[in-house]
Amino acid sequence: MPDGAHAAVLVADDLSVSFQTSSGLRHVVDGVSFAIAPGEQVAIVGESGSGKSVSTLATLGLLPPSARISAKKVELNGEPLLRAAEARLAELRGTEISMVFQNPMTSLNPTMTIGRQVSEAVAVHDPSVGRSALNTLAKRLLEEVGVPNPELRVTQFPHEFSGGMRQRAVIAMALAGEPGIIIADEPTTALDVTVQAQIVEVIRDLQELRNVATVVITHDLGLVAELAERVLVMYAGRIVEETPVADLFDRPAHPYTRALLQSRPSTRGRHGRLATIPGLPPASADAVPGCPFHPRCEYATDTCKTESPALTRFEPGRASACHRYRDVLNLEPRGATERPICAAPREPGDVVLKIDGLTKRFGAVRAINGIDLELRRGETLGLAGESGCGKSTLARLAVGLLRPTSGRVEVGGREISSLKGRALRDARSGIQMVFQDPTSSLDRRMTIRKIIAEPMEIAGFKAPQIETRISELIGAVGLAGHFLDCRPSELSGGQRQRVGIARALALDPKVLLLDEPTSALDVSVQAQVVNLLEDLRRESDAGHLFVTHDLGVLRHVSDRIAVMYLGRLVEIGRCEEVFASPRHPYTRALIASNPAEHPKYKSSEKFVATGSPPDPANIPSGCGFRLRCPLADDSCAADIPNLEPVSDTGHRVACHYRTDLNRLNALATRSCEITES
Amino acid sequence: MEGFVALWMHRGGRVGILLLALAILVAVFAPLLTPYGPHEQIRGHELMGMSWEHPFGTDLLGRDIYTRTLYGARVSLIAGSLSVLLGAVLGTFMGITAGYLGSWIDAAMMRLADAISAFPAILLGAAVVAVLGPGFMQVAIAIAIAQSPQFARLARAITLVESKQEYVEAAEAMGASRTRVMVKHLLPNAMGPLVVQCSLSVGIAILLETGLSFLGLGVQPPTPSWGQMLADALRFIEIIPAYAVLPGLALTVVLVGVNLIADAMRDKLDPQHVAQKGA
Amino acid sequence: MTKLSFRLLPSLTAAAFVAAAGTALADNVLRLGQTATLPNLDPFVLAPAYEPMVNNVYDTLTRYDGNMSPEPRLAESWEFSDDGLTLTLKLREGVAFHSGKAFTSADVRASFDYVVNPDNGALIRGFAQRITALETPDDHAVVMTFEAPFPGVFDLFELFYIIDGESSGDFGQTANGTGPFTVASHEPGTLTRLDRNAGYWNGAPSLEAVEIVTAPNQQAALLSLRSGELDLVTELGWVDVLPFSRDGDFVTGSAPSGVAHDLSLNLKVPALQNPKVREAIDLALDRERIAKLFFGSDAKTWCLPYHPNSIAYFEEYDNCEFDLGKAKAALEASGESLPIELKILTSTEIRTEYTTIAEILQADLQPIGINLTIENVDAVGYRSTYVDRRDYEIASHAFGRAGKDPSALLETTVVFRPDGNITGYENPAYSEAVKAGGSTPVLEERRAAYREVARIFREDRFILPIIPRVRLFVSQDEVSSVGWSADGFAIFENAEISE
Repeated sequence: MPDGAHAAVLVADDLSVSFQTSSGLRHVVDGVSFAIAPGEQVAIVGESGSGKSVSTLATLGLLPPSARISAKKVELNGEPLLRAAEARLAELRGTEISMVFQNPMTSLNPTMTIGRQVSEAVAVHDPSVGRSALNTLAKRLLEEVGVPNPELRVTQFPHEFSGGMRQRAVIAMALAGEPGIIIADEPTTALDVTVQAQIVEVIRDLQELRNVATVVITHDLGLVAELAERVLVMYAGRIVEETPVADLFDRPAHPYTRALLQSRPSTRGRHGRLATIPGLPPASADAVPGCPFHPRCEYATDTCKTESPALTRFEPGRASACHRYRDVLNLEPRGATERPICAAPREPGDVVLKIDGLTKRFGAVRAINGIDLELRRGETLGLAGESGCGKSTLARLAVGLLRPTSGRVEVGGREISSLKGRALRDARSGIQMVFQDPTSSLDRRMTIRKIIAEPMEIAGFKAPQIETRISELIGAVGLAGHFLDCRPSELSGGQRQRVGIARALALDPKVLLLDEPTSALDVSVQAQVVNLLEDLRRESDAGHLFVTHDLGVLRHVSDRIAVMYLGRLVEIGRCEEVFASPRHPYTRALIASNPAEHPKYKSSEKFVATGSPPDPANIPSGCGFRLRCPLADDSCAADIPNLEPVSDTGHRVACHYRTDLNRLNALATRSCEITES
Repeated sequence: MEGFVALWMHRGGRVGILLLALAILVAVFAPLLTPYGPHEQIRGHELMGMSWEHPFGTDLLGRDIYTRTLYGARVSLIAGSLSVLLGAVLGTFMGITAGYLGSWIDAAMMRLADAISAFPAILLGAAVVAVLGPGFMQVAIAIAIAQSPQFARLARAITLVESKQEYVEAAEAMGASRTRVMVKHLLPNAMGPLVVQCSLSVGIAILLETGLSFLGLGVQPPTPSWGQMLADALRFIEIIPAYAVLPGLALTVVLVGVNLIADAMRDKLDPQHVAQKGA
Repeated sequence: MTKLSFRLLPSLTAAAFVAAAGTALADNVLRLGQTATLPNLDPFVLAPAYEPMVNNVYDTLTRYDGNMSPEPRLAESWEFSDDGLTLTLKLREGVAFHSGKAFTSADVRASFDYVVNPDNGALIRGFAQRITALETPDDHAVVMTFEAPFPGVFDLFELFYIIDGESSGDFGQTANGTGPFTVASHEPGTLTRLDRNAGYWNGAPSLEAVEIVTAPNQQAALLSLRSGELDLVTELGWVDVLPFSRDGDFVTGSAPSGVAHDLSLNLKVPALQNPKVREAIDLALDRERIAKLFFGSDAKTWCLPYHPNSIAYFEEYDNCEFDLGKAKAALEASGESLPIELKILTSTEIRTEYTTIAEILQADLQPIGINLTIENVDAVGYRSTYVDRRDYEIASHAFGRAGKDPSALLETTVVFRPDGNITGYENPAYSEAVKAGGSTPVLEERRAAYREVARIFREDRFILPIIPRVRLFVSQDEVSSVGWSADGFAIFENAEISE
């Protein structure tokens, strides 16, 4: 029993949830107990399928009818919820307890003004409140969550709001009824990095200024570090660890927590090979006898296979559901896998991909506005940027899926942007792509064998040749041969992405384009894929162009990094150099916006860029970033800064203030200060 | 097989399967179910009403109406499925090409589909028969043409959705030709909803075949078809009112069966349902 | 249409039927329903749709009476020269067209010129060309000259409608005849209304008007008849008439139709060149059954293409029988390898009976060793296959103008004419006999020649007549005295609707 239960806002005791599916009863939550004290900041962390969302939705009665819920007790402010009437639940939602959902696009009604939606909770529960009072309330709430110009904004509709502004509006809605507790389910996952940082600030302000308990449900340990005092780690429908946030990062008491921490790539340094968790989480909470984690646990003993460990309190505020928690606590904080921050840069080979003066417009949308780039054999170039910056368009232009408006793309010395038909198809074999979504990028009707064989069939390989190559490839991406006759739906996300990689490697391309290959994956799986790519790169001499918004992954895999903003490169250089001394304000914003890796780095001082990237159909004059940049002045509006070298190692930056270190250092990126190199 | 079980578990689907199975059994085992041949003219038994020998009477030439109805199931079922198959192939080709290649091909294909569907199906059928002459295959072709726009629109809609999927881009990126993308990727992924559409169309096709035969444009005599028999029944309705009963009932049974199966398939094979299951 | 080709034969009276007086109809208008659409008012097309119109809007020079002897109509009297090569007609005086214009010999001349002009597509054109010269000595005399004696001339007159010589020749909406009714309105596909011609030379008709109504199908026509919207429906099958014959509110009757069913055998087909095969088909043709199915128990069958009262009819050659045993024997004796595959051309669109005959024949031929495939085509396809391309094997067919003088039938129709007929049959003896029978007015000589023709028909069996069609009709019992021409065309001159 968690302590402080008597004074708790929300209590769940032995909560279980299962769903009736076509393949039988699936247990999703298995005996979870928690109590949230008033004003407490709690994070529930876990990978997809761990039951972290379902367990909270179940307390609110928000699950579909196919869910079977049982519990000894579910109480909100002492009032039992489990068998409460729907009308009473509806009354409580919004006044006593509020939710903030992941996707602000779908959690707002497109046909209502923001003002009315924000104040709706009040209007519904208290019809006597007049229109003008509601309007005032909406304006005040919007102002509180940092929506500029609330006077105008209350009259607007959701489509007139950017993603970040919408999420602010959703938070304002949640606050309207002055609830005692707010549950935020992945509140920043659908947002861009710089916008994510803004929302983190909003939530943190709310935690500080209001007496409201917050429960942040997330898969992102960075967000946990930013927003939680107390953390519940969930795995396979159970709470496996409960701990104050600092201990989570320094002294994890469960092997799963530990593995999770080690599998995160870090923006603070390159740690060589990432630790991974072998295998997959069980499909149902009762699928594995004994400890549900034991098949993936490196410390598992025979006891773990038969006896399910109970959540055991071993010191105040700390509990672990592991038979060997004491051993785990005594392990070294970071694993022995830690390696030098940066592998020695490899000898650059010849240029395999050359992009020259590339532009691409879609009608009024100027997606790519003049990019020059070279990728060499054996090198990994990380391409960073937020949504809409044109990084995916650039990848598609490079593969020849799109035709440039102007400029050239050369693969292995051969220009492909002017080729057509068969010649283009032949030339494409030199450049292959791994897509973001491993589900949609594999034809769901084909077997894995057929999927991997396809590029070779197209290239005219003979059948025996294809067979041999398939077995090579499937081994190379670390999948067992029996997967070849499965269909994508039978594979997990990570396995699917391995298939996508195998397919891209089939023709032994000179250039491998990776478009957000890990962003749809869970942390532990992401680590496996990142490691795989790392291995593959070491073994082949293809050039990798790795497109992602995740700086942690980027820093981990890249030799060089290019940062894109509104269809232009704003900074490019060797990985360590860019991270060590970012010279473009936008690069600094990106690095600063990445959630802290440890609560000790949590800071309200760091630089958060305001606003969100402008619409590529309406790009400001001069420097594209100037409207969000605290350093911007008239010269930034007048002309577009070119990429100019700042070092003799190829570090180039497109900013007028690239050498003004004092001003740049004012834009804090956590512990990072540029020193003269 | 899995699909069949799913249909069987559906209440309407099960009734539909039973009704259609009845019709198929009757069509296959017609010779065992009647002492008469479908073309057998019994002298002196012309235009008889209901009797022990001929429970549903005889036609002008002394042929047993019950027997001819049994054999008529063959025509209706084969014409129904064959024409839908043809129509599905034609329409799917149009739709996928239009949806994937876009631009003027899309415009041309879809205007063609609009033009075809602007005509009432029966009129279109009559026009096709006028060009190709009457007969079983001609009728099937006529019905196929009349039904192709539905398949074309559906296939195009699916193609428009599917071609936004990354696997299509992936295939293009690995150098797949347009034909390959259409045949190997878009077509298999459009199959589910197209099969549902097929099952919906079979009923309409059977009705169209009946309509065309009713007008004398369908299957050639002496092959019995329900449409022809209903047309005859109209002539003799004053003398033997029972004439229309059996062919009409048979048509109803098959149509109800096919439509129940179609509904069940739509419930089970609904693209969203499949997507949920696949995810 | 071939079946509507002109031919001559002895005739029957227009059958009039008198019915008991019933309750008065709302008006004195006779409404006739038919499924065929009357496209225009041209008297020379002679397709079935025109049949109720022609004898009521137009007049002819003569018309056969019940005994098949010509009655004066617009010709008051006539006289042949001794050699039979000249015919002089005296025209009736005081006759006026509907326009009021007086009828003269110039109109006969103009009608003749119109008919023989190939641009006008008159069905009787070839027949009319037997008249080599036509002179008009005065306004009321006409002299016709023939190359050889022309005993069938009154058959020609039966269909030689007199049109206004000054009319435009456009029959789309207008018709200026001298007949008992004038055209009041004409909407093709809907309704044609003919009003009483008060100034008719033979006395104004009793009916105020005749309306020819287009019905969507036979069943609709019969339903309208039942409901009283129609007064008369013709061209029915026996089964259609049956329910009405038991109903006292209706009168059923029959009239000759001038049409007979036949099977045309194409002698270009190798198997059909074998006389034994043709014999087998003849023996397997169940004429009795067909007659009974179509027209009931008192229907007739034909082996020869004439009525028994024709001069060309000989009882000893009316000798066909239905015997599948003999048919099988004949087929086995033919030396052909069995089964023989043959096709039969039919068109349900023209007449459902064509196809019924084909189905009956198919069923009977199958057990003796001929597999008959039915080819059912639309009317246009039938015509082009049968007449234009002659690309059929066996055709279920009907020929018109049956029942009048044999000479026209035998000499001019595509079915029977000795040179280049539809079956490809050629025989000098047949040519000679046909010619001999048609070029003398002497009865004994004609009989002798036609006896030879009948013998040849039964021996060579290239055309197998089946049954004469009977025009079955149903009317409200108030309707009486509808007349029928030798060709079975309705005549409303004397028709009445009782009060």
